[in-house]
Amino acid sequence: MRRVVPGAASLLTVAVLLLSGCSPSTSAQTGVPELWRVQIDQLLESDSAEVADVHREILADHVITPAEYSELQQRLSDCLSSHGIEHELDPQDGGTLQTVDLPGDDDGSQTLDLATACIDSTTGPVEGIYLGMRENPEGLGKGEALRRCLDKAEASEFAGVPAAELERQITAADLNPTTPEAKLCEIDPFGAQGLGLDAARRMLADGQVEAGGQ
Amino acid sequence: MKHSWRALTTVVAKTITRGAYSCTVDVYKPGLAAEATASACTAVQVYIRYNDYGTNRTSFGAQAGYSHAYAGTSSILGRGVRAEVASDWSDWKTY
Repeated sequence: MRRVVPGAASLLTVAVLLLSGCSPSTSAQTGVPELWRVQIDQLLESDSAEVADVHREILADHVITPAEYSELQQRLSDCLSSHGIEHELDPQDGGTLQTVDLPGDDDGSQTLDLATACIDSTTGPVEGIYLGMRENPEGLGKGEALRRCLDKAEASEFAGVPAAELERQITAADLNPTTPEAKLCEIDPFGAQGLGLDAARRMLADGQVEAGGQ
Repeated sequence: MKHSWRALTTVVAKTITRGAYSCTVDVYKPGLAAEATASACTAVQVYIRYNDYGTNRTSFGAQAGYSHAYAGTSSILGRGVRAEVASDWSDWKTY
């Protein structure tokens, strides 16, 4: 067994970093929460055709700037225009897009297919992560985010249920909140969507209406 | 017939499948809009189609954990949802 002299390992690490021109404090990945780093790495490692070169270039440093997202939105607009699809894109509203059906496309399927292809090849795989990082810069897991929201709202439902158990229930689609406070936390745990308890009540009621129609 | 809340909320869950992978989203039909929460999926996206005085339009929500799209008129033609499954997007599923 090779004996390591105390301090030699750290000196070796420093030497390697200096030789490679890197330092921990300047690493592009420093400060990127695990939640987002993992999702970005999955995209970078994916061989899916939906992850284009432009996406890989933007994601390579694990940071998506507003300028990079704006550029993708411009590409989306250009793509739609190239197909003759009249459209409006609201950059202030997290990528909300409105298209007009192409002439003669009675059921809208052709326009939908073209618009979907444009979305997937431009903002596609980057948008969800960009908006997610903006909303959840700490990279909290779903269970942890919900726990914090419920505690902040002083919601009685799920009181004392640990974040890990909430995460399990969310992942299994088995959470099923019944109070507006808990429902609102499920939908919008960071309060970033501008929704209120009325929206949560309505969503709970929507479920009731759907069931009544069965 | 009396339903429990658990049964009621399960009714609006949609299972989105792509290949061997699947996950669940919750979809909603609030008045003049389409809404969905990713629930067990990574991200979700909705659209709503509507007729605007003779012109058919489609509004798309963002790809995110919660997606919402609004119709400009009450002439709703349809709603669709898709989800990110195993790093790829599923086909649209109407609801």
